[in-house]
Amino acid sequence: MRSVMAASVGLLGLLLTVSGLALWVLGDQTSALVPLPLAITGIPWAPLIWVLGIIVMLSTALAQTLRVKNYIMWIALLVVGYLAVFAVLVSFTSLILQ
Amino acid sequence: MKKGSIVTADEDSILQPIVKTGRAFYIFVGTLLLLTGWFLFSWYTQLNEGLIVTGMRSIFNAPNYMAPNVSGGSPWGIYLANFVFWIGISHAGIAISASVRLMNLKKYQVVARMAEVLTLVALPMAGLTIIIDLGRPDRIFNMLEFGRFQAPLIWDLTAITTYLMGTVIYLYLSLRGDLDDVALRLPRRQWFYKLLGMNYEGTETDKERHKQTLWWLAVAIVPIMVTVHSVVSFVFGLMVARGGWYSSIFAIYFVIGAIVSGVAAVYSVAWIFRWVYRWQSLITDEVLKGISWALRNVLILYIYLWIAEELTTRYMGPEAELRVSEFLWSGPYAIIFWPMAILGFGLPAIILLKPLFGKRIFNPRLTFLASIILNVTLWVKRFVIVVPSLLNPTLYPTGFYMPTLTEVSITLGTFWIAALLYVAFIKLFPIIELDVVRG
Repeated sequence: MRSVMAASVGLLGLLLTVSGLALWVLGDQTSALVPLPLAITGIPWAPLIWVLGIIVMLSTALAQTLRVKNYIMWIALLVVGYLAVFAVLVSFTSLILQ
Repeated sequence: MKKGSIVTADEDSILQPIVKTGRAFYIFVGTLLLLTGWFLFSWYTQLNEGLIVTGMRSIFNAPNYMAPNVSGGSPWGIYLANFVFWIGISHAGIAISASVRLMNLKKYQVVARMAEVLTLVALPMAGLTIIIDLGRPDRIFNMLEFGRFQAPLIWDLTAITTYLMGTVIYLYLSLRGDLDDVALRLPRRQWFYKLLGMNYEGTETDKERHKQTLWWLAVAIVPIMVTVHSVVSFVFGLMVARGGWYSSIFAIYFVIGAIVSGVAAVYSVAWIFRWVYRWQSLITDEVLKGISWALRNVLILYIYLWIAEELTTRYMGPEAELRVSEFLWSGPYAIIFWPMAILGFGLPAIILLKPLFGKRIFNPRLTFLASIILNVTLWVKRFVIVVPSLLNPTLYPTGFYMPTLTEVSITLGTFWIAALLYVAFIKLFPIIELDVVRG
């Protein structure tokens, strides 16, 4: 059961990573390297999807060792914690900079 | 006997930092908190007044012959040097720990967690330094929203995030088994350890599953580790317009430099723990000697790469490269360069090579001194990589760079915070894996 869960998590992470990168490449409007017509779509947050995909992929190790509810707690902690660092920094520094 | 109960003197000894808190500890932490307060004040000053409080791009550092309104100095200063330094420190942590697992080096398991925690505190400090260097941290989300995948700085963000997440997961899984034992030893904090342990059963199947998962995680994390420092080097090495940077050797040069500073840091930390907690029976001379041998070998490799790089530049380098080299050899930064080369690298090299000759005596204290000197030197080395090239672009020199008190206070602040985080960890969790004394 845990192996199935771990494999699913790994695949989901891989999917997010590839999707994030693909959206990023296609959405990049200024790239000289990727002059695709689709480039004008400009999909925001693609880098974030990419980074989240990497986090999910790494969490395969947790899925292999933890119960489902504990795994969900952990992955939520990692993602929310990661974004919270940015959010707290932005909030505090915005206050000071105002 | 209850499963996992603490019985041996060695296990008690490992838990010493958690259960015993002396006056020296409070003095140490109090001092660190005061210094961190100074760091926060300095950062507040920088946020409030802008990067003008730093020595970067100051008009006062512009050369005399330029128009007075032209900015001078370097756009990157000690913050960037500090960033590269912390990334370097973060290297050895997982490198040593992963080597212990992948190559079954049981002898060094005693320092594995010390090394992992070093990685865990060093990486956020690297990130913090970059955020400080941005000047406008309120715009940090822009990196995630508008980052361009062609930019090495974005590769950095990705690689460091991946490495940090990998390290957190790796450390948690290696720690999970010990949490159960610590909970039994400290009934008052039991809820905390039980919560973190997340229903760890401690059965043979559970242990085996953790062991296998950690092994595979170690396999995955070693290439990530190499990637992180290679990517840091690409921030410099892919910039064609800067003398002293554009080089194919930079990635390996940075990775080896990182391993030198990381292994030196692990040696320093291990020696300090051994001295403070009298862990001579746990962190034996043999263990320290092994680490010092690794340090010696990578140091020799690093010096070799450095000489190869200098020779290529000095023999027939392009003008911009030669100008940077002259700036270091006989220019304004010679006062940093030569002491760094002779005392910073030469002296530790002699100390580390000494056991190879004569009586082959290994001196842990002298090697500790060498490891400290090496870490200071490698910080300075990163400074002389970053700044002189920026002061000598291809057209004309842009002046001089001297860090201000605010910059120095902020940079030192990352060290106080790192020390605080490390101390917080050792007050909560065993810094040596309990498996070490259980065989």
